[in-house]
Amino acid sequence: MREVKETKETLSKQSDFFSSNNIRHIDYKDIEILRKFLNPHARLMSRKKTGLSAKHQKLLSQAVKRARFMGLLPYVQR
Amino acid sequence: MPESEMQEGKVTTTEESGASESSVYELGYHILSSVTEADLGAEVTAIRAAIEARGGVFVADEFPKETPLSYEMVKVSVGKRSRHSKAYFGWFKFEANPAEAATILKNVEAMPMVLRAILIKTVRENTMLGKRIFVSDRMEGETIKRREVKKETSTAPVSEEELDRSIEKMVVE
Repeated sequence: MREVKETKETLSKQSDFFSSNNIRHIDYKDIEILRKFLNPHARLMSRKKTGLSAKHQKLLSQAVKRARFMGLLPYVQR
Repeated sequence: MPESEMQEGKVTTTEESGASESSVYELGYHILSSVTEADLGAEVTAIRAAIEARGGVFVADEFPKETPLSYEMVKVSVGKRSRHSKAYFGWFKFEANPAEAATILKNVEAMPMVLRAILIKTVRENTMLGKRIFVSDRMEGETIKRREVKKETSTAPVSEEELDRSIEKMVVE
């Protein structure tokens, strides 16, 4: 049981983009990074696809919303 | 659109209820593209003055640059609606009292040449990473191949006489 938990933790740590790049704060002006986590319709990818931790996914969604509000990212794309 | 505006409004109100100690804020703003580049400096100075008037201490800033907007924004001024698809985007990072933060945003939004503004709570350190991050060209799942090392081809065996001659030459030199 313990081994399973450990492997899950290590997997999630490996795939978290922000943890691996040692990024603590996600800036809404960093649209190049934010775009990595948007699908072709400009919708935010699910946590399952991004592989981010819950904390980073929440920070990411907040940054994307701010960027959309400021017109740096679109709300929808066709 | 109003939904997102309301969201940002909520953020500022929660910041207001915080401690009375000063905290670091970032004010992002769009200046109308109708402003000429010569007058842009004056508009930035006006925004800077609005922050300073409320006791803001500047930490960092970026001069506005013309950026295309992802969607058209509407600005109502003197009873007229005007649509904008590009604007000058700039930002200020400053330290201020949480009680004054909401007033600063209100004053900046009220400026006739400001298309939109956002106020967020941030940290003193630089949060912009941009190109600093290492981005690999390798596609996901692709394995890194080892570079092939070319082995040095062995030359033809040298006779003892030739070897002696070359050593003698080196000694003479």
